[in-house]
Amino acid sequence: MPSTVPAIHLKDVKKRFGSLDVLCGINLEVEMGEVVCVLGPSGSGKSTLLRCIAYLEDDYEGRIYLEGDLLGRAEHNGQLKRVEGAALRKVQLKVGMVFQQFNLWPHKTALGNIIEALILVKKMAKNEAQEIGEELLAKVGLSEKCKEYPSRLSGGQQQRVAIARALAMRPQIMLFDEVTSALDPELVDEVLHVMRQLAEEGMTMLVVTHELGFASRVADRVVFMDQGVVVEEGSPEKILKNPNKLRTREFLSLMAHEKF
Amino acid sequence: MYDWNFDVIWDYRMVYLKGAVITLEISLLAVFFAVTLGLFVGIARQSHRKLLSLPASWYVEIFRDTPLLIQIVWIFYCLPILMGITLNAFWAAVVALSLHMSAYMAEIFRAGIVSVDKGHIDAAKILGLNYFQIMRRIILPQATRQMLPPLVNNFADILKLSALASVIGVYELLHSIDNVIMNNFRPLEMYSVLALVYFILIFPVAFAARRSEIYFARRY
Repeated sequence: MPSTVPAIHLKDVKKRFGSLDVLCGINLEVEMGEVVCVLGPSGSGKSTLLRCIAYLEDDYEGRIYLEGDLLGRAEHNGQLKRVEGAALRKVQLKVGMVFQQFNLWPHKTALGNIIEALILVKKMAKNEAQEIGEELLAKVGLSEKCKEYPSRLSGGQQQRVAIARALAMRPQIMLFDEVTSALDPELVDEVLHVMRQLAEEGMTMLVVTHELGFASRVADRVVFMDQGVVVEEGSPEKILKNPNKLRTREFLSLMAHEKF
Repeated sequence: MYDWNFDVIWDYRMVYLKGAVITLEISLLAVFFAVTLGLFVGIARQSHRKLLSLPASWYVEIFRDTPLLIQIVWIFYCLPILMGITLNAFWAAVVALSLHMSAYMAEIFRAGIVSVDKGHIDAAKILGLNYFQIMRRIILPQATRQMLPPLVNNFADILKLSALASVIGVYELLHSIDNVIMNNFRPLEMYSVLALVYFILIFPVAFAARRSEIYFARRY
């Protein structure tokens, strides 16, 4: 019954930096094709949560399953052991991630950024990779920017290239870590537009964001996090308009004051 | 007032030329070995594995914190006795200069690697690139830009420091000219032109460094 396997399944994930508990036992399921927005004040552990799912933080407790496969660990006689190399990569590559700071490689062109992993990781021929790269740049509306270096692109354009780069590896799950927070206000929409398009195509998405508009229009579910725990979750309607918890209400009213 | 007589110089043009060739040979070999060694030591030094980073730090400290002159003499005179490794003067100079400068190169590489935005590495990791691919394709190309000016500075240093090989009798520029001066008693002319020859060797290096900086700045 593959359809019942969640795309992302976190079981009691805990993460600490030194003496600081950043994630205090997160349980979360994201269904295939579902778009889940994660809200919460800074320092609530949202980014760390995404980084664990992307295995950029590998030193966490608990289990993360991606489409039913255990990420970065293998079970031996009831004990969890870390795995590396091909066994890790097979599961890790199910995930694509886009960052707040774009993180495009400045010494490579837009197209160069996209084809790098196709050639190095997927061992694709260069012209084949370029074809895919050009297709994806067209998809994010940047066909004419193939040969430009990131420094010649606006923030919004850079972020769209970063999305195309992540999509090139054909991930089943996309993680977005405050991808519009570093953008000038007038550039936010072009990035959100691409994300919305992705959501409509049925991509599984976990989106850390402060864009409440995006959350209410695109998300299937909203998760509110604070101090390393999931405070509450539910439909955007419920969480954004009529949350149960006081903490959620406080956060939302704070957001409203900031924005308007 | 000193009575300059530069006429003698022309008679010794071949001495300058041959000396310059040896100086260049020593320097180019030392640049090659120092960069290669320095790259590995530099990478090892910023590794989070103590087994790699600790010996690498000691390596850097030992070769940086003792004079090159002593290292040259030690490798030439002491190494044969202590370890039975005999190097002729030329190779003793190359080895000493390579080891000494590799410590500086290692620091440049380390600083260059550290300067690369962690986010660029995260992006590469999540796309499935392994450690060596990330180092070769993402970190080093970016670090190069950062490292180029100090690296080329070190090339120039190597050219200058190669003159120390004269103490163990390598006929590079300085020693060749010293030798001639004992016959023609024209130290002022000979040393002045010697300085000029070094300048002619080193200036293009500095110039190339400047050009390459401009090239990188324009590219991205």
